[in-house]
Amino acid sequence: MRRESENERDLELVHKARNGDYTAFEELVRRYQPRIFSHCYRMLKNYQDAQDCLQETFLKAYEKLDTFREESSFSVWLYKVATNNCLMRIRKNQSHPEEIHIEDILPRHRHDDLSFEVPDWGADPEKIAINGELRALMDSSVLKLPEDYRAAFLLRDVEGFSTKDTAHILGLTDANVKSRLHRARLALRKQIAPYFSPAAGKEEGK
Amino acid sequence: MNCRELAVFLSDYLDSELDSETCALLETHMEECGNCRAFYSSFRITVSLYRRLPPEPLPHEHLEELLSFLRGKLLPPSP
Repeated sequence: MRRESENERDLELVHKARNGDYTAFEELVRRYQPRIFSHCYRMLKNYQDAQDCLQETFLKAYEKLDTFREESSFSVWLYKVATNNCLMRIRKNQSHPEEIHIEDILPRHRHDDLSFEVPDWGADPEKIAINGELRALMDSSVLKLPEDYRAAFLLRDVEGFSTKDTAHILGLTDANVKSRLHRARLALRKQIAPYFSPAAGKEEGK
Repeated sequence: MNCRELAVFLSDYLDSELDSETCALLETHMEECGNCRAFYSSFRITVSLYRRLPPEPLPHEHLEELLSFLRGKLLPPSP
C-alpha cells in the first residue's frame, strides 16, 4: 500500500517536473538521493565515484524525463539510469585489471560429494550481529562479484526489487536474473563462510 | 532428488518460487541429508544478512551540495 502511494506521489512530481516545475524535480531528488547514493556506493565502493554517479544519475534523469513512459515505476526507471551509470564507470575503469569470472569465486566442491561435512553455522540469522569484521567481509565479498552479478544481487536482495523489476533495470530476462542471483548468492555464501566456520574455506575449496 | 539437484533449486526454494511437487522432493531430501540441511541454512543466513544491511550513511550536507550542483547545471543563471 505504502509503495503504491509512493509511486503515485512520484508520478505526480514527474508530471509537474515535466511541466517545468523545478521544485517538483528537487523533491524527487530529496526522496531518492539516499537510496541511489547507497546503491551506487555498493556497486562502486568508492565514495567519490558514488558521488559522481549520483550527480550524473539525476542530471540524466532530468534531461531524459520525457523518455520515462511510465511502463515501470519511476523508482525502477531511476535505478536503471543509476545502475547503467555504475556499470559504465566500472567497465571504463576496467581496461587494465584482469577480468573476474563468477566460476573463479563459486564453490569448487561438487555438492553431491559427501566426503566433507558442511559446517553448521548454527545461529538464527536475525540474531547475528553484523559487527565491523563481518561487515567488512560482506562488503569485500560483494566487490569480488563480477559487476553484472553484483548488480543483479544488489537490486534483488539488498534493494528489494522483484525479479521482474530487476530484469527491467538490467535489460535481462527473468531467467537470466534468477540464474545470476543464484550464482551470486552461492559465491557470497562461500566468501563469508570462514567467518562462521574457519574450516569452511578449506573444506569447500577442494 | 540428490544433493546436486537440490543445490540448483535453493534460490527458488528460499524465494518461495518452487512448485509444490519439487518443494516436497527437496524437503524430503533435506530431512534425510544433514549436509544439505546445513548448506541450505548457511545459504539462507547469507541472504538474510545482506537483506539486513542498513543504507550506506551519507553526510547531511550532501543533499544541499547535490541540489546546488544540479541547479548550477539545469537552471539558467540568475541575472
